[in-house]
Amino acid sequence: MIFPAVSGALARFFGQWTADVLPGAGQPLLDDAELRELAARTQSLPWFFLDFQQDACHPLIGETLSVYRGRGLEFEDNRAYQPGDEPRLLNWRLYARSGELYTKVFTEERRPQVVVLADRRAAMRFGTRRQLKATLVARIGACYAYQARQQALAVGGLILNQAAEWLAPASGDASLDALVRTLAAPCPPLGFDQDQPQLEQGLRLVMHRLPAGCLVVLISDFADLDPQTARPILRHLSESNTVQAIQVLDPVERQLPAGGDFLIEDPASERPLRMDGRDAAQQARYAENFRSRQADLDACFRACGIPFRTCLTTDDLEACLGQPDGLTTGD
Amino acid sequence: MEFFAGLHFLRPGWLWALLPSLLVLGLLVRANRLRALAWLPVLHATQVFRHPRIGLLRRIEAGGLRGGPRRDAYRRWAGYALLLLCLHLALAHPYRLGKQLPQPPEYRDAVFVIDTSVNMLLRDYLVAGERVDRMTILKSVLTHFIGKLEGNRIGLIVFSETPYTLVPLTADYDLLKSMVRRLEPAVLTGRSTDLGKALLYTLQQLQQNEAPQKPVIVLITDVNRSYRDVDPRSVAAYLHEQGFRLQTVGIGASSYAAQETDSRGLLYQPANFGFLQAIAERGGGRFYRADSAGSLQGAIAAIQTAERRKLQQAPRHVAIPLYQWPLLAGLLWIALVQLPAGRRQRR
Repeated sequence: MIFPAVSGALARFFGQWTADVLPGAGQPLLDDAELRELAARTQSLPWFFLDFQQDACHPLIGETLSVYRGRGLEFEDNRAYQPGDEPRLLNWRLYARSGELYTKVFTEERRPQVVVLADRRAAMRFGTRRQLKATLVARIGACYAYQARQQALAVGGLILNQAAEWLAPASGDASLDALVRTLAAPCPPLGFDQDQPQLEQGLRLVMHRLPAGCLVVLISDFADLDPQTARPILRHLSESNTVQAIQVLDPVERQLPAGGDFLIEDPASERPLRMDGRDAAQQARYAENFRSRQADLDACFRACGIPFRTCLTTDDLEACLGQPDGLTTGD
Repeated sequence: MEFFAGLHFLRPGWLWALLPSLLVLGLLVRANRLRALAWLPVLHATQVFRHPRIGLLRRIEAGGLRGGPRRDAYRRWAGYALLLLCLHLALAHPYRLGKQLPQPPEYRDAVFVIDTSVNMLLRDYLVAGERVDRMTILKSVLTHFIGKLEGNRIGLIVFSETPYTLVPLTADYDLLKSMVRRLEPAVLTGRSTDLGKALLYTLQQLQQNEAPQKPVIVLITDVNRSYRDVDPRSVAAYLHEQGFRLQTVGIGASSYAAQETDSRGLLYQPANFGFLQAIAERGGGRFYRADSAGSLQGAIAAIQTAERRKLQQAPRHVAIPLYQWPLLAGLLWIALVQLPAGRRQRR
């Protein structure tokens, strides 16, 4: 009983230690030059990916029309007076013409907030080609943040690391910078068995903290999302906000690598899992399982009215940002 | 067919052990505790990778172990069964008989009963014009004879008045030679000769020996006459009855003609060859006369030839081991099973 505990503790200790000394593990995912390039690129993008489907209920007064009726500049309608209505809003001209009391109804103009829920947990600190999943998450999140800043929207985020980190939405360069730096913070490998927040917890947190009418961008691999239990939360979130879900995957998650035997670390047991890349049946089983899982996720998001798209670490950034069909960028 | 007829197994028990092995194999396959042979463990997989979908992989691995159609299970069983057959064949240690081994040497044990009475000091031998005493001749010939013996155990019993065992039956020729060198007449056992007692003692000693082969007894003496209490002829006859053969070698001259002029205070006694011949006849052997060193050597060689007897032993052959072939076949089988998987890997 003592031996596994001691060896586990030692393994964890040395595992963290080796993770620290891994070359490049202490470097930020994106350096300043890359971030500047990303900002310039976002500005030059010919399409607008902050797509507010429900320009309904943005909390801040702003330039964009909302569907909230209330104090605003844009007149919408007259309605019959009801006791308790503001007397200042009575349409006296109409009363003079018709002799009946009407109240003027205006449409409020509100300014939306953008919140990025970025997953940087252990499973995202993984990548076989081109970049880590967390790096792609940082790029996509930064693009959203830059475009939000471009449109003078308040931007914030919930970053899931070993703990959930909440960055309250605020307009201004400081909050943008804080968000981008947190997204691109160094990302040393974490053990899969370490305690880390669940994605559903993050969703609940966003749901509770956000006022209605925001744009919520979920960037994760959604590996631990149970469609059944998460559906009510997602539905609730999408009813009052605009939600986009972007799934970031590595190619080996979609398809196991072919050829050779692989030993795969299993945090739940001492013995590593053994995968045979030559076993076509096993590959097919994996692909089938993965497909059905993806189908479940897709169905769940569709049922909640959330656009869901998947991008691989090998994909171009433009494709990940939901480049409309037929539109090509300069490069 | 001829090849299989000449096939033998050193440990045929392993062939029978194949049946329980197959049974255990069948149970393991039935309980889905065995992977197919093509999935032998990776020998050199030192790197352990990470995969974000570890839960999915765990399910896949567990499913791969349990699932699978029945035909697959049979194929798995057959693959292992063939391997087990090869291994058990190798463990049974098959061999073929090759060249016949040469027979062991055809000698018997020999016990020399040597007279060391004072008579042995008599110098009635003439070597290169010099008088040589009987003992010197006896020693040199015995030493030479022992040196020439191979695969034969020799025992030495000396006697005069009383007999005793100088060297029990041994193949340590160095010891024998050294003991023969140290022989001195009339020192340990008394001056006179009691031949009958010596033969009785010899019989007593040899009956303690439990070897199936009866040693040949060679009596070397210059006896003239023995005590009368035990007649050596009767003892010789009894020895022969017990299955021994008593050869006698007479030493010294047979007449007073060989007597030295200076007797050095010793009473000359010629050897009584007739008496010795009678003992040899009763003892089932022959009498040899040793007139000189050469003829004594000839006499001992003649005894040796006469007593040569083949050992009754089954013919022995060189065993040519064949276990490596089933072992190689097993290894080849594993390699063959792995081959298609390896090809897939290269593609």
